[in-house]
Amino acid sequence: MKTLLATIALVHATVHTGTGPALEDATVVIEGDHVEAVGANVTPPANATVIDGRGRQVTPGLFAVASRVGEVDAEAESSSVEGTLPESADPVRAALRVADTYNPASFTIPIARGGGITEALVTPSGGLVSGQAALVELGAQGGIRKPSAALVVSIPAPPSGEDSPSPAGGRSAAFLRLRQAFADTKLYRASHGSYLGNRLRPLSLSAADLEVLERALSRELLLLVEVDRAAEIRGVVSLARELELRIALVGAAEAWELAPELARAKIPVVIDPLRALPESFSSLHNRPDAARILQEAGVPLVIAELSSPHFAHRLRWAAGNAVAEGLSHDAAVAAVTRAPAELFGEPNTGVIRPGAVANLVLWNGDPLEVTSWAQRMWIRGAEVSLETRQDLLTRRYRHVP
Amino acid sequence: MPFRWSARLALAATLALSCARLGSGPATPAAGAAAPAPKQALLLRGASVMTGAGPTLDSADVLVQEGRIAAVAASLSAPAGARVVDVHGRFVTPGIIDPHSHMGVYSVPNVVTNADGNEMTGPFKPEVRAEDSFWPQDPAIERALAGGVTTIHVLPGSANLIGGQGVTLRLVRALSAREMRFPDAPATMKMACGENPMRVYGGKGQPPQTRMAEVAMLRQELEGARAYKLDESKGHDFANEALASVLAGETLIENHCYRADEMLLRIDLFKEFGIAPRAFHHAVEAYKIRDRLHAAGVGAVVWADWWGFKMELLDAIPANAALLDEAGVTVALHSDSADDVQRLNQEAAKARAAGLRAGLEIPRERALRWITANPAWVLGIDRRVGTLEPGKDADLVVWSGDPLSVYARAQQVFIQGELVYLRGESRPPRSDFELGLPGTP
Repeated sequence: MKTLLATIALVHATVHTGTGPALEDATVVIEGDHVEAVGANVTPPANATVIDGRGRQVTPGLFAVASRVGEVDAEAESSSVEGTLPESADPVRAALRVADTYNPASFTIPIARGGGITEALVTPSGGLVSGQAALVELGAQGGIRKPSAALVVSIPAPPSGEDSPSPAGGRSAAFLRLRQAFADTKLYRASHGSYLGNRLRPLSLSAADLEVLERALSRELLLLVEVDRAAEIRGVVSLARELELRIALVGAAEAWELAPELARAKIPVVIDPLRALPESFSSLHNRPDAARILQEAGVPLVIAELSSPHFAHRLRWAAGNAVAEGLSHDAAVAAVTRAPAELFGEPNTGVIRPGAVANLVLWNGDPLEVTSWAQRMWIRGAEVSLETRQDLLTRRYRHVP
Repeated sequence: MPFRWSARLALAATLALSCARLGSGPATPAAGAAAPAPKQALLLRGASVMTGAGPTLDSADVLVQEGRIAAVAASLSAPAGARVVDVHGRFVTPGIIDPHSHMGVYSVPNVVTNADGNEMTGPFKPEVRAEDSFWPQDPAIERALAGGVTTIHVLPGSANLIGGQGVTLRLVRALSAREMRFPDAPATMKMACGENPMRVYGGKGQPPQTRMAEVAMLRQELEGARAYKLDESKGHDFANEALASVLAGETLIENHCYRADEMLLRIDLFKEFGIAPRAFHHAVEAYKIRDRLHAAGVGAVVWADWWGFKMELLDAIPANAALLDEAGVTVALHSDSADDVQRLNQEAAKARAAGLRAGLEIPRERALRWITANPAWVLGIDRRVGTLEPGKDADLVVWSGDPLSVYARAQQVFIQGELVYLRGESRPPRSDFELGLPGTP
């Protein structure tokens, strides 16, 4: 594979490395599947295909967190949707794996790539313990890198409005059930022999679920907790401390109110700056500059587009709007590249430095701007087409039939 | 959150349809919208002015008198007593007009009793009016204003073939929709095609279950209205009177419709009754029939980049607006969302960029019209707003920088010359609901 890849040099470009200020008039050399060199004084190797980056910008491939790309084609058609269970199912589905049904040929993938996204943490939805998220790469082969990259927990508001009724019964029920589930997991772990010998009291969960929860209890598996209201964020933080769980918060509309506390506990927060309405009784204190507040307090910040797999391409604009509300441009780029990669144990992606995985995007301008677009993309050094079905339609109808 | 998309897309995706306010029924007092025009003149000095009616004027002044644009030119002299505001380095544009909103009828927070925009008890509800559900305390309104939006068209949802009457409102502070009503704006009627009526009624085993029933039923309904005559002994039939106003061409048809084939069917059906829709809303396949739309004089109200969440959205393309504009169709961008309404300027920039990427040369000034002059036409209020030309109402926005940028923020928003939003100002929230809550805009 490696031998098939060309050596490429992007020259005279503005390079956002994900690790600090942008480099002006810089060169990036891609050798095989990795970045060989980056900097203002790098000379392209003699055998390199040189690409003029004048007036253009380079970023690491963007990382979409808590996305449902690859799980959906046309959302309203339930026959095209995976990664969830019927409302009637047990709300604790730790054994559910998105990786079993993730579809790299989904309609949603090319549009996401058009938004500069090369990696995604694809999450299940529904229930209380929704299941295991998969870390995927949006390359031509559409590879699953980690089939079990995190365990998703959702602290729901009680049934309301047009929302589907919550199978978990609301916030109180969620905490109750979580405590029961982890108590059973501890018992299962401590009395495994008795369990196998059928000498243990009945447990609330299947062995398949308990095995996964045990990985969370042992801190191997990160718990990604969807929670908005400050009250429940406190509850989740306290539960995590009690059970010694490794957690990150997702959605987290009111996390900014607890920024110092979250910073002290080093709890990463994944927020969507495009979502700033008091859209429910769980997010009445939502505000558009929450990213800045969290960042200034020292909370590990990840920016995500959380509304729809059909809006995955909006990730860079979510970051751009955070900049308009006071976050620094460098921090915003890092929040959609390096920070999520680190959070999910991929320190060698989301950055441009020697030895890093060559997941790169070439833009015709500021990557966070609404006026620019992605022109070329490489995943592990292989160029990936950015052509979408939308492009084909545009071409077909460029002249009215 | 089994369907995380629902909070933000549910309205358009599943149920948002709308219609209009009618001249029928008990006489509605002709509009008293908006604040009284302030007497003090206002002079904005030295901005880049995008008038919506011509090239950008660098370092120009905007003079406002009696709530109207008096002049736009370089180096205007300030009338005695005028308030002079230095806006060098800033941009000034007309106030943004959102031609498709459900604010106030699907207010936040999204709770059961705020779902107030779809009367899903029958596929024909021409007599209901969005104005009568509208909650002026919707906290989303202030966020829209902070995004430079000065006028919105509020529609019932799209569950019904005829969903009811829309209402055009100015975002002035008021205690009722009636007090916000845009003066003399034409009545509008929300109609809908396609998946939503089929889902809502077909799912219950009621008609329409199919697109063919949608067409047949709509034809029959309009025929009934054509035959309607007031019988004094029975009293008014407000549904038929509302439709009579549509058939008379007095009420504008604002038609939710996605697919090209269905839009063409609707044009033909309306032609049987001698009428035409003012615009198709959502219209994600309008680019396929842009020559037909242009010939029929029908506008298109579209998104920049929504796509795919229903079958009828799979062929949405981001170059839709640019292709329509090139073909001479009056194209406007809409939000259909209390989130996107805060960033319609960015939506215009995105749609323009998609056009450029597809090889269409779209001047910046042209793209600005997609959120100002063109939606004003769609709503029939273009004689009063949508551009910064002398005589027009002084609904305008001072931006921190180029409005076609993700980094621009509305700093000052004026309606009829009155300052209605000032960014960074420390003040209580506009909505009573949010009093005492942290985090308001």
